[in-house]
Amino acid sequence: MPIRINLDVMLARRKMQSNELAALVGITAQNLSVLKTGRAKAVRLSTLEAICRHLDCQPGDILEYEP
Amino acid sequence: MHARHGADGPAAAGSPRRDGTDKERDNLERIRNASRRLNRVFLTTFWAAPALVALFWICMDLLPPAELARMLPTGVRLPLPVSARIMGFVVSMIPVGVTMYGLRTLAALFALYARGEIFGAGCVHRYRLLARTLLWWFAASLVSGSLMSLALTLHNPPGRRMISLGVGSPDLTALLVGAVLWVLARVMEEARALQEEQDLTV
Repeated sequence: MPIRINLDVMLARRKMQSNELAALVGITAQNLSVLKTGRAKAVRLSTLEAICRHLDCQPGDILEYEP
Repeated sequence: MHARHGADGPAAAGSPRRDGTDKERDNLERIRNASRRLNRVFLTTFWAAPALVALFWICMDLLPPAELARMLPTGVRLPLPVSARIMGFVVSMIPVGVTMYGLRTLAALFALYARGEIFGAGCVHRYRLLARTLLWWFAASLVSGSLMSLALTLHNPPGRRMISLGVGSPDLTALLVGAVLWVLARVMEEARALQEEQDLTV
């Protein structure tokens, strides 16, 4: 899929663990792993909003379009 | 793959749908409990069915003659010799064997439900098997009905032996339910695809 997920990069920049972010966002670590590994078919806006809030970033920092 | 998005999913946590999620969880728990019980019922029936059929052919003399005549095809002379009883048992086992396969499939389907897998690929596969089983049961019932009349009148003197062919309302019901299940299996396949998409929505 030409949409690349840069969540691991943002997590490294914020020095945050996946489990910690999952707990803050209110999703399971398994679901966050699905997103990180690019297996997700869709992302809810509420999830994206929560991730951006807790990582203090923009959606474009996490999602990147690769033609 | 689990069927329902759990309460720990992104939509559930701290959302106004919390009451609805609790209800969904209760409903899933009810499905699991009922499925566990049904799984045991189907497994018990699976083993009991051939034993009951064998018991019938062994102890048929204990039944009232009028009742027995009603259960057997017309033209059968009582008492039946041992060879006719053995043939009767073997022929009876044709539709019973198909029924046993259906019971085993149902037990497997409800075992999946008991594990919380409602719309998984395994469930869809078992729906297809059930539909196929009912269609096979229709065919087995037709064949065994004819063979039964032949097997039980074979010991009659020449001219009194007979073969019958008939379609009863249970056979047609099985055919109809089989066709309905076949369509339902397709519907379940659609549900499985939707569930997969839901599971991969974060």
